[in-house]
Amino acid sequence: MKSIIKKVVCLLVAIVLCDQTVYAYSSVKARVANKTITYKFGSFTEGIVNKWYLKYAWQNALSDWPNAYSRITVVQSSSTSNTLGMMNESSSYLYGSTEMDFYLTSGHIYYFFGKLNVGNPDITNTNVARSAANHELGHLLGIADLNSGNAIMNVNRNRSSIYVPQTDDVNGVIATYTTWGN
Amino acid sequence: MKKICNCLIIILVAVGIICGIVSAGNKTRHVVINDYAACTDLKQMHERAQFIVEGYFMPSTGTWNMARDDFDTSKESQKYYTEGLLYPFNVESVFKGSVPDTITIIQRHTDNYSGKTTVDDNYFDIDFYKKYIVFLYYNEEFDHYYAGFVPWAIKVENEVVYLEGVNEKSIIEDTITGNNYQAVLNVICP
Repeated sequence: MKSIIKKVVCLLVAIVLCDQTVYAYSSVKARVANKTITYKFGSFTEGIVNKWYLKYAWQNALSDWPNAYSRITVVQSSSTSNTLGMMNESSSYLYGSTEMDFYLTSGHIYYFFGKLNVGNPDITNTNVARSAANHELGHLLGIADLNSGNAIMNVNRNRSSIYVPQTDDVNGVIATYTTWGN
Repeated sequence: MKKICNCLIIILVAVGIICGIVSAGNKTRHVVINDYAACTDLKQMHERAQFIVEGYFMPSTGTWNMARDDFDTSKESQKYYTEGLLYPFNVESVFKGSVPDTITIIQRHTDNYSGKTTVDDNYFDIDFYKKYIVFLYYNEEFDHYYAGFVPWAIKVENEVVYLEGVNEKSIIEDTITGNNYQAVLNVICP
């Protein structure tokens, strides 16, 4: 009897292990509700000085995500406090940064401020800026940083060539909302 | 009377439970997540750094606001404060680039973009009695050297090396072969 139980347990463990698919993405509970990013743009100009290329990067990213996964919605709203803008941090290894506030129980983000770092000299490259913008939006959709892999969430990606969400990123978003709900 | 008391107790308990549920539901958290440049191996660190030097840090001489005015980098930001710690660094060996005998290195310490101070994930306490190999960039405008990616510092203790300032040391653990100083030198000054 004991040996039968042992065999059954081993079989079950084997089935469970075989059924595991390895993904690189890492999902987290904090995410925007209903896969909807509601935002307004911050300021990109002062006098004659402008940083429009950063606004274009955000605009591209706001199209890239719904193109990669059609269930993602973006809504521009002047009444929201959620902002996509810029920062100017000098002598820094940052390309961008997102601060967010979310409810612990639901995981829903109720405030965010995504920033692209104009102080990083690399960000004048259009693809690099777009890559950073897509990375930040990935955080709003509940996926975390990675150290490797073909993904926009990989902090070591080549930002000139990986600048739109990849399959692994989309899988990460799907997993996030499957695990935690809309 | 007893009935009324029981009813009151039940109502109070129910209100308590509802309040508890509501307050738990309203608990919030503030997080800051950064997209930063990172290297996964020593060869990459060697390729990407403008300067690679070995030497000793001296105690910090002060702080510098890395957050600058959005449109004029020469002025510090009036809205935000990102604290960078300034350290004089006595250079003993130069493995890449050309630098003076003493340079100033800035280390990102904290940021405060929303009134809440957050310590940088990659910050580490510097040991002033130990030798370091550091991978740097140069900011001409402010005449200081800085980390353009993480990890950017390797602590040397006799012939043993330790990677500093990375949350997940496994990123480049393989390349710090056996934590061996000579193995590191073989990569950064072949």
